[in-house]
Parts: sequence; structure tokens; C-alpha cells
Amino acid sequence: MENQLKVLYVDDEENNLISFKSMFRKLYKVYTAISAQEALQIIENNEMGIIISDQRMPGCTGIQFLAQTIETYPNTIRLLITGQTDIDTVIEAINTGQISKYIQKPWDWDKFTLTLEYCADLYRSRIQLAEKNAQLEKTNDELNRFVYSASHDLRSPLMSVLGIVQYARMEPEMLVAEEYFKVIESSILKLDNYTKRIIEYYQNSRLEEINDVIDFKILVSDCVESLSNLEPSVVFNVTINQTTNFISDDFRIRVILNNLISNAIKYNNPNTPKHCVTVTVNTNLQGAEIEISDNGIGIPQIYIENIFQLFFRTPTTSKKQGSGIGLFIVKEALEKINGSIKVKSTSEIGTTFNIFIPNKNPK
Amino acid sequence: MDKRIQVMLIDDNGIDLFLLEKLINIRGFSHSVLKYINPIEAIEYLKTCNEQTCPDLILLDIQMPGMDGFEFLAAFENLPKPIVDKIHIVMVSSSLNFTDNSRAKASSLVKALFLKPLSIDDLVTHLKHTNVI
Repeated sequence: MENQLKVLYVDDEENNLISFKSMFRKLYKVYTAISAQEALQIIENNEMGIIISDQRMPGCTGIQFLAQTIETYPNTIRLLITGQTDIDTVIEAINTGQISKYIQKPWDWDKFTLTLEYCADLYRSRIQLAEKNAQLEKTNDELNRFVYSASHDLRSPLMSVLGIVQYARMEPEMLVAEEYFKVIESSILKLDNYTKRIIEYYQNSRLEEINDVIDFKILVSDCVESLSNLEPSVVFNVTINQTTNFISDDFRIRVILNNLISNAIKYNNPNTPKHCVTVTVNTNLQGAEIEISDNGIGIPQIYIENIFQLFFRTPTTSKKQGSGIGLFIVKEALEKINGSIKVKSTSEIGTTFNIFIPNKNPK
Repeated sequence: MDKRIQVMLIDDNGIDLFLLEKLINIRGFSHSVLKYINPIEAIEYLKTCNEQTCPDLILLDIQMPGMDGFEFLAAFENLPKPIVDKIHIVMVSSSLNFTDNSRAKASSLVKALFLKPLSIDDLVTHLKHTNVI
């Protein structure tokens, strides 16, 4: 049978080789060698599942021979057979020969059979593990490349279209089509936003946590600045009380604040004259308490516990549909930096998110 | 406009080349725009230039097949020093890739990095600020 496991037995006593072969030839593909030299020739470009070697052989001990096979065949299971039982040989066999089992001469056939079965299983699972590992590495690699290309190849044509639309809107004779352009533009931005969220999610789940020095004044004003053009009429109240050095992950904090602040801007209440977004940050040596609140439409109580789930969207009659990713990413990113989040919301009154982010400052 | 300059555009995306040229023409700060869809050809052209004839500004895309923006920069650095010193390079990227964007920011040859779609107002502000125009 082709898929029989290959077993090599090396011994300088030919009778042993003959009886071993007759005993196991039905279970395994058995190779035998009368010397270490012959054995090395057999295993050249021919991986064994199990190699069994006698310890006492002229010219080369079993341990010395087995040790020579380790580098080429790390997965192969090595067994030593010996009549000697001194502890030094055992230690040397384990450390130098990397043997898995030790068989005493004269051997008991039943025990020997069981030992070989056990070793065959061990070898097969080592091979499977190596194959699975290789597969996993390949998948990982593909995922890396996919996201890298998604971040460019999906966005690049989209940005071209957006650029063209924005350019077309500058042309005076295009004024009649202004309404259409607005719709096109908002669809493009929506798709782009979605792409960005997916990339953010991926980056959050893959990147190692990084320790950056955080200046909340700069960080929050960056976020507010980049988002304020979404809705120029929004009034921002930003208060930062940072008196201590703060160490955490800059990228993840930006992801968290960008998502929460853009939600606060987006879900305004049409019945409220002035839409306000308040961001308050207080830091100390333990961590940062950040509050982001708005006087927008709020979240109906029955949905509050679902808002951090992936792809959950509250049913809404307004045009403001979210992607169902933003808050999920917020929660995931907070988990990575050991933070926490709480939400309070009242329909028609507004929503408040309270976040705690630990300070990794060692002092 | 204080100065009118020569601009070289390098981008593997034909639409972006078209668009950048249009936007530059609207602002009228350039008397000639050279468009290259292949960065290798752009380098070949630059090798034939002297410091009088070479462009004043290059808008360079990051991700391009064959030679990407960073490989272009490496080849650019080997051009004669007067040319390297004269040309102002701005990178324009549609990538959200951290590594790319921080590499661009870290390069001393790159004077600015803008994300696509390029805001022509931001570019003009940057060029005025750095006395290119």
C-alpha cells in the first residue's frame, strides 16, 4: 500500500532485522539496514515516519546515527533499542538523539507493536500540524495582501470618480446637474466610508498594540477638524484636561474617537435648532475618561444593548443609515487596549458615550 | 499668481492624470504639464534634463505597477544633484496603508503627502507656503 508509513530499523544483528521485518511488514513499509552508513543511504531523499536504531553498532552508536537525522527530518520519530540501561545513555539519547521512546532488549512484541502505533500517530499529527501551519501562513499572507490591495485598489477608482465629480461641479454649465452630482458624491463617500471601516477593523484586529505618547489636545482637534466638514453647522464643545503623560495606542484611540464623533455629528435631531457635540477628556495616571455626547436623535432603549454588534443597524425612517460596523470597531479597538465603554441615550434628547482608556505610563 | 511653473504628473491611473491636469489648469500656476503613466519613462525623461529644463514640481502616486513611488524616489535620488535639489516632490496617495503613508512622510525628498482626491486648494496653499509658486 502506497500510504503505509515508512519505518526504518537499523541493527548490526541480521537476525533482528529479519524478525522485525516479518513482524511488521504488513503494517508498515519496512526498511532495514545493517549499519548506520547503509541507513543514511536509505534515508537520502526518503523521509521515514519512524526510525528505530540499535545503540551498540560497530563504528557508530545508535544515538550518534539518530542525531545525524534530526536536521534533515525534524518530524521523524526516533526510537532507540538497547540492552544497556545506564542513565547516561538514556540522557544522551534524549538530549542528543532526540528520541521519543526507548525500547529494551529483548523486546516484548506486543509492547513494541503498541509503541510503533503510538509513534505512527505522533508522526502523522506532526505532519498534519506542519501542513496546517503552512496553510495558515499562506491564508494569513493572502489576507495581508488582500487588505493592502483593498485599501488601494478599491479606493483608487472611487477617488478618481470623486475627483471627477468635484471637478465637474466647478464647471459653470454643470449647475443644472448639481442635484445629481450631490447624490453621486454622497454615494461615493458612503462606499468609501464603508471601505475605510473594513480596513480599520482589519488593522485593529491584526496590528500589535503600540505604545505612543498621546497628546489628547492634538488628537481630539485632529479628529474634530477632519470630521467637522461633514456638517459645518455643528457646534463643538471640546474640553481637554491632560496634566499627565499618557501612553496608549494612538491609532486605536483615533479609530475610537473618529467613529464616535462622526456618529455624534451624523445623527442630529432636525427638531433641535443647534446641534451640539461635546467632547470632554480627563486624564490621570490611571487612565483617560472621555465623554462624547450630542443632543441628537438618540437611540431607542430597546436597541441599546445591540448597538455594538457587527452589522447591527437601528431601523430608521430617516436617510441616515449607518454601516453597522462603526460601533463594533469601537468596541473591538477598546478591547485591544483594555478600555471600556458605556452608553446612555434618550430618544429625541441625545446620546452620551463614556469611555475609559488605561494609561500605560509605567510611573 | 506669482510664478508659473512646469509640473510633472506621475500616476498609473489615466483618469487621475486627466483630472490633475484639469485642476492645475484651472488654477493656472503651470505653463506646461508633463503627464507620465509610467514612472520608468518619467525617470528616463528626467535624465535628459538639465536644471533649466527640468520640471519644478512632481506630483507622484505611491502605488504603481513596475516601479512604485518609493522606487521612483530611489532612482530620482541618483539624478544630478542640481536637478534633485530643484524639483519639489509631492506624493499623492489613495492608500490608507500606514506603512506607505509614514514612509512617504519620513522621506526627505517628499515635501508633502496628500490623499486622493487631491484638494487643489490644499496643494496651492502648500506650494505658496513653500515658495514653489
